[in-house]
Parts: sequence; structure tokens; C-alpha cells
Amino acid sequence: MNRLEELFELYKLMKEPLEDIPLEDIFVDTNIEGQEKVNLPKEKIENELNKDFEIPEKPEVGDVIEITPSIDGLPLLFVVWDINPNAGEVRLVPLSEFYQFATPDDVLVKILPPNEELKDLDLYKKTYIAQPKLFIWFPLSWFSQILPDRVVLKVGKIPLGKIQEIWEVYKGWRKGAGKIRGGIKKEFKKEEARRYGTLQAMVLKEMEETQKINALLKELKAQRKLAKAADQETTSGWNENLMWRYYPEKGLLVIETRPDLVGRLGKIFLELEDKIIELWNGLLLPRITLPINPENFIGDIFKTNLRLQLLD
Amino acid sequence: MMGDLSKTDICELLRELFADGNLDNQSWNLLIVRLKGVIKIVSAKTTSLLQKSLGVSSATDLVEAICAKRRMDKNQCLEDIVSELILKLVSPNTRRGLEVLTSKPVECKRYLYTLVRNFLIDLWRKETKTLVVEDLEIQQSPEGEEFVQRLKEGEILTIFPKKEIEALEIIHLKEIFHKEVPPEDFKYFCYFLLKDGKEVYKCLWGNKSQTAIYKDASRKKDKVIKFLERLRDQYGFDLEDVRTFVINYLSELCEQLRLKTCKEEK
Repeated sequence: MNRLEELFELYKLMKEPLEDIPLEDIFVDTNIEGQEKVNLPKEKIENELNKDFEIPEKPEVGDVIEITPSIDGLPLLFVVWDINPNAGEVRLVPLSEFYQFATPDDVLVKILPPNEELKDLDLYKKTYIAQPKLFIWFPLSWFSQILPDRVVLKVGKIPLGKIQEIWEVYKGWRKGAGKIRGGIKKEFKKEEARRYGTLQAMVLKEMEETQKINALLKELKAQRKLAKAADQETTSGWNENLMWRYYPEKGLLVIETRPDLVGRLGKIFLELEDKIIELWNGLLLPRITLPINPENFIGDIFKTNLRLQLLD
Repeated sequence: MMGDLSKTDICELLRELFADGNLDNQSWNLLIVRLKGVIKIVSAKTTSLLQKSLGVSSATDLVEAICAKRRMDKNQCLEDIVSELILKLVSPNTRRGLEVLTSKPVECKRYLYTLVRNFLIDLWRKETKTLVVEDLEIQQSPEGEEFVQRLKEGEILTIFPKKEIEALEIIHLKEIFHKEVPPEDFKYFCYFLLKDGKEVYKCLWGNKSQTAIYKDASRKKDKVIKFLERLRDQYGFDLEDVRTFVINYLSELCEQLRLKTCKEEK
């Protein structure tokens, strides 16, 4: 087994999600006695805890984002390659730290830290391959919110010159980082394509969910036969658990959870006479954004019927 | 003083650490014990997987292998690994991911397991030089402030000199060569591919006559050509790669072979 094959085995092992791990054996709850003598670098730990990344409200080309926690064991890092405001989507190119598998389709990049304070992180010491052939589409609105159980962080940038290089390599106008395409590198690409394919499928499923919400609201609006003008006047409201505001120009509904409920499990929904329309189910985040078409938005329903129910 | 019982759970402890920025001594103690326990179990389980997939023969577990590479006493080494792991867990991107899951005990523990597993594999990769030769080469690229400075100076597209990438390909080509060509056949490559090879490397056949050498080499000529064709068709190397390999590596290998074998010329 040569080094590349060894590395490929490690890559596969690292990305392997857990299926049937007996967690109770691993995280066993035993009584603790005695004192552990580990000299922890408390100052360094405190420093790390004070560092933070921002959640990118408005992505820009060249931004490097990380979706965390990952869908498997390996980091999910992407560079924003292209923004299509009309379709409300961005194109993301995946980055992999296994640059030894570079093919003519890849570009080598390093991530630049967003500020001095963060520059010592391991993230900026590594070399990555940008893999334009494996790009995915991501809804623009999700940059101002968090996917259920996942957070999107802006972790850095790559220079625009490198974006240009990614385009040129993608178009076939120039050769990428590596020369070899076949053999074990082909196997690596297949695995990577599977990873991002899974993520794209998850994104599409989430998009379907928001489409379902929109369809239900549209149906509701048709049933109500209310004067549209009255519906559009109400664009904000609150109750004891949450505040909300609708931005018709962006087609976004922003819901802010009461601070002491943030981090709990809950469901946000519209309670109607004969049914409920579920808008969110999962971890309650400080700010939840949902794309709702202005034609489907019914302000006074949100004003009187929006509810939050704790599930934990 | 005993902490709140609910706070003995590893994810609860992490949640408290992330929220308060610190833990009391009792909770630190608990967290360290929990992490040590997880490291030990993950280490043992990962070792068997590594042995299965990589054929790594080792009687010890992964942590022991890392500690042996570090030439450290196991207890001290494990303490260092715990400290490094805590630093990894509190680093902003890992922390933000864990924060999302700390209220979901099962998901949190699953994620924590993969984090610890990959953290240990990463340490092992760093300690085993065989897998990081390329890393060392790339690390010579400009970094940090110098990197940013060069970007400002407009050197964006030359930040990764092409020769570094080529070096990766040549390392790969060397591996293929040694994997596919048995040492007793090296001389045929010297004979056919190097400049004046037929004259300079005939001594690799000992005292055999010119005709005998020619006959023997001719029988292997097809093998040499087929190998070169495979490099092109199966592995995707081009003529430039092969030329670099022959000049930079094969010529040196053949020279070593000549000095070792052709005693009368020493």
C-alpha cells in the first residue's frame, strides 16, 4: 500500500459517520473519585473561548464558510464562488484538506483569517484543494439563519485571484493543481462527490420543507379570501415567547426567540382552527429566518396565531 | 464539594464550559476523567479499524502508538493529549458545532466520538512522517503575515509555485515505480532510459558479453515500455513528469546501483 492509498484509507475512516456505536459503553457514567492531575493550559482555553466567528448575513464571493457540525466526521468547508440574487442562491465550492489527491480539476488554496485574533487557528495553517467540479447550490437566505441543528460560519476568505483561477480551471482554460486524474485519486473524487451529493440532497429536502410551508400558506390565503391590502399591512408582531418581523422586499420572515428559551428544543407554528402549519421544529435559535413568498404572507394570521411550544 | 449530578454528563459539562467560559474544579476534574475515558475507548476501537484497513501491525493502541512516536511517558503523554483535545473542543468552529448539539445527548455524544476519533487520527498522521512528507514541503510556502504581505504585493497567483505541485506527482511516481518494478529489474530502466545507458550500465550484468546483455535486455524492453504506457494511460502522468522522474530520481538510483555493483570501476 503506497502513501496515497494509506491516506485514502485514513480519509475514509475519518469521514465514516457513526452508525451502531454503543454510546453507553463509551460515555459510561461512573462515579468519579480522587483528583485528576492534568495541568490544563487554562489561559489558552480562555483565549480560545473568547474567539468567535460571525454568521455571514450577506455572503460575498471569496468568503470561506464552514457548516458545523458536519454531516460526517470531516469538516464541511466551502468557498463562495458565485452569487445569483435572482434565484436566491449561492454556488459553493468544497474545500478539502486532503490536497495530496489534487487532480487537474482542483486549485490549491490557503484560507486567510478574518482577523488577527484568529490567525493562529489550525484552519489557516493547512493547504486545501478547491474542487469546482463538485460545487453545490445553497439558498441565499440560509446565510442569515441556521439550518436545523447546524450553523453556518464565516471562517475566512480566499483572494479573488484564486476565485479567478477556480473559474479558469473549471472552464478548462488552465490546468489545476495535480496532473494525475486516475487510480486512487479517482476513488477519492467519487467519495467526495458522494459527500457533497448527500449535503445537496439535505439542502434540497430543507428547501422542499420551506416550499411546503409556502404552499400551505398559499392555500390558506386562498381559503380566507381576505383583502390583500389588509394582510400586507401587518409586518411585525410579538407574544410572550417570540418576536417576528417580515421583510417583503427580501421575502424573509425573521423570528426572534425569547433569550431564556434559546438552546431549548421547541416547535414554532401557526395554530389555526382546523390545522397547524409547522414553521420550525428543533433547537430554538436566537434568530430563525424563513423564506416566505410575499404573495403567500398573511400578516394578521402571524400576529394572532403564531405559537411556540417547548418540546424538552 | 460534589457538583450537580446532571452535570456529570460530558455534553452538559461542555455546555457549561462554553456558556460560562470556565468550570469549577470539580467539573474540570469530571470533564478530564470523561475525556480520558473516551480517548482510551476510541483509541482502542480506532486501532482495530486501522489495523484492518491499513494492515498496521501493532500490539498497542493508537494513543500508545502516538506516545511511542513522541517518546513520552504514557501518563504525561495522555495528559498532553487531553489538554490538546480540550483546546480543540473550545476552538471557535468546533465549539460552535458542539453548542448546537449539547442539548441533544445522543447526537452530541456521537459527534463527540467522531471528533475524538479524528483528532487522534490527526495526531497520528502528524507523528508518522510517512504520511506527512508532502505536508512538510507545503509548509515551506509563505504563511501568516508574509503570506498576506505577498498577497498585497500582487503575488496572488504565484503563491503556490508550480514546482511544489510537481514534487507531489514525482513522489507519487516514485511510489508506483517501487511498487511495480522489482529491484532486480531496475537495471533495465537504467539501460534503456538513461543517456548512454547501454554503455554506462552494461557493467550491471557483470562479465556477460555484449551480445548476451543485448539479448537479455531486449526481452525486458517491452516491460519497460509497458510500464511507461501505464504511467501515461492508467496514472495520467505526462512526458514532462516522466522526464523529471528520470532526471531527478532514476539517474541517482542507477548511479547508486552502479557504484554498488560495478566494483571494478570504483
